[in-house]
Amino acid sequence: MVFSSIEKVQDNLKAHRYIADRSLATVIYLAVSLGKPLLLEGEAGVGKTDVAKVMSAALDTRLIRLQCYEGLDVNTALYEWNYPKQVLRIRLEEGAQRSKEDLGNIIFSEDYLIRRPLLEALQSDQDQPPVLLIDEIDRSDEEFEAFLLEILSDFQITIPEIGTIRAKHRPYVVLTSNRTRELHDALKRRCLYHWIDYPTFEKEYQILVAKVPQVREVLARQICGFMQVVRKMDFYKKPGIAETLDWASALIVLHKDELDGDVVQETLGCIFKYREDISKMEAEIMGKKIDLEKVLEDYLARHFG
Amino acid sequence: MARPFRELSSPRPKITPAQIQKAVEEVEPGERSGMLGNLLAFCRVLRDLGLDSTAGRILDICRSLEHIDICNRAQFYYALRANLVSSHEDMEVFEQVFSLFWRLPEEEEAENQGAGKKESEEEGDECCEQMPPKQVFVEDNSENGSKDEGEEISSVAYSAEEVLFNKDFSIFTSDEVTSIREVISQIAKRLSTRMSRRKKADSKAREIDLRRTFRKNMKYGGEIIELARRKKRIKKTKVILLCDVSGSMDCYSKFLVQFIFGLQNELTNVETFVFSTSITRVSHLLERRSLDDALAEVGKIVNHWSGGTNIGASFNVFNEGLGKGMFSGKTIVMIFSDGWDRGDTKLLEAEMKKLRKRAFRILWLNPLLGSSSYQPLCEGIKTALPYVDLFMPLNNLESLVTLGATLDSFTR
Repeated sequence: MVFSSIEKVQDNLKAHRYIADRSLATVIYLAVSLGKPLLLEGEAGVGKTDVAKVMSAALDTRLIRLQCYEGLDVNTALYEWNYPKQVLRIRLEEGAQRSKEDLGNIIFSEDYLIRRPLLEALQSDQDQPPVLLIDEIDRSDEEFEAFLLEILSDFQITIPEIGTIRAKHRPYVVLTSNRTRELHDALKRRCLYHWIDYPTFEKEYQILVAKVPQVREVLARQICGFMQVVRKMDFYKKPGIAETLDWASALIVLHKDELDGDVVQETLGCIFKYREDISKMEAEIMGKKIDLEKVLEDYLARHFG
Repeated sequence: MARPFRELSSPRPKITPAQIQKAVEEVEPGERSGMLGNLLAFCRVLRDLGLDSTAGRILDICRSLEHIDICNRAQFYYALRANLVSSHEDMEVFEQVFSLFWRLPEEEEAENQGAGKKESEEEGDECCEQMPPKQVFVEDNSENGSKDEGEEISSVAYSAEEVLFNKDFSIFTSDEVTSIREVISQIAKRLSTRMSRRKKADSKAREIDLRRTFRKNMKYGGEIIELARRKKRIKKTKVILLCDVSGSMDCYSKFLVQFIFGLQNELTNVETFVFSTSITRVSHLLERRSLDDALAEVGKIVNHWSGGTNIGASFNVFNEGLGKGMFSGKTIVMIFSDGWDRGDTKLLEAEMKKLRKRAFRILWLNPLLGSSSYQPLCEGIKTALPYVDLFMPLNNLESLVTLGATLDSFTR
């Protein structure tokens, strides 16, 4: 078993270039061994969705993803009959001598069923259960949340024309939420919970080196140090790890080996996604409110002697 | 980005370290026998502090513990946390309880020896912090107090005793009536016509529902004969209005009556209650054609109009009795009150907590908020505020217009 101990979880995720701290590794380990869904919350861009992706890679199994949005309903999440195909079949059968019952059984068989992500996760034939990622559950509405409860507690669904479909293996379920609204207690109660925080300097450095191997050591440290400072400041949308990685890649493409005021200013678009935040940061750099060089030196000195 | 009202924030007020300490210390030593006893006691402490540690979760913890190394403190901590904590706000409380509860014997001893004096000092400090702030309102001396101090003072004072009498509404006249009614009907329209993203079948709509069309025409052998159509559903927001009619609200009662009556008549999905020392449902009384009829009826039935205030007890009656089963997915609770409260703040807090759990949004409309010098200092408001999504003034026509505009973005 790939995830047979907490250390193995951590190592395996690391082998797939995901740096998980002990707490996250413990929760993933428990979710896999207990067969409980895992609810991940955290700010945008801290790697919630990536947990599911990397889990499926490490477990060598399929990733089935359901992106939530308001108005998401059973037909798009679970299953739907392929009506045009059914109609065509009826037409083809017009000349044939087949009883109505038989025809009914044919067009309401699994061949005419369109599997949506949830059904697919339940019916997966692989030896390994798939990873089911229910992304941004906070965007769906209460109706869908209630429906999800049923699936997550029994891992079975009933299709009137076919019968009850039970999961062969319980899929590994990962739910993510950006907390645009509070989730219902009943849903939370069914899940193991973990909050993914912004990374520490060390963790971010490890992630950066793992994900963008081309980055030079000095630049990587400067980037991470800079990010730590920026996240302590007040912005509408603070940069996450996703932004760090984007920025590092951009700097490499631009052949920059070190950070300075100009470089930062030119590439602010990688770090901030709101105009207000960009102009605020520009003002801070221009007005020397934050002394960039000093900030970077301080950080390097503190962390690397 | 800057909103005129409080951000949607943690529904739970902050739990102080002193509270946590107390909760942990209250555990009987007898309870803490063996792993399971300790675990159950731990969960109970957390439950007392407001975390959601249900029996199902405790079972899951027991199952989790089979998979980890119990002697490893970090693993033990993370396993409990993953099962018991389900929001970021609770993490801090969990951590504090955990570190106090699962102490190694030697740690405990060291603490007991070393910190005797320090502890008592600290306690003293905390006591100060815990002390309710000096009451800033004027105590009600209406019998010997001079009347010429005007309405301002009497409006912010308690009515010391419950005054039970039938208020005469018959002389109610106001020029503002028409304009108030207009604004209220606008608000009502906003509340009752939100578009849902979900669709419903409607034979007169324009959009064709392919899924249902195929399904429907299966009976004709797949020949498309009937078309099924659909349109966007209209989400009806349910509103529960809780109105303070205690003595301190007297000078707003004209406006209040207009507000209640207008909302009740414009919206189909509204329930109205009036409270002071007790609470009464008045929705059914307001379903009359004319305001005068309705008021006469209300005047007859509600005998605690202009009484004292006990918000906690009133809400308790509402939560436990009158309001049961009134909540649906998107119910907005509007509380119209100045927050001067004579009752038990603990009870009020507990009831606000219950309300918070069931309501989609809680709005507190405060007539006193209109005066610029007002700060939410009185106990009632202070206790309730952490559970309220929106705290707004409502004392004149202008504030009513603002309320309408805010509601729009707020009820989504």
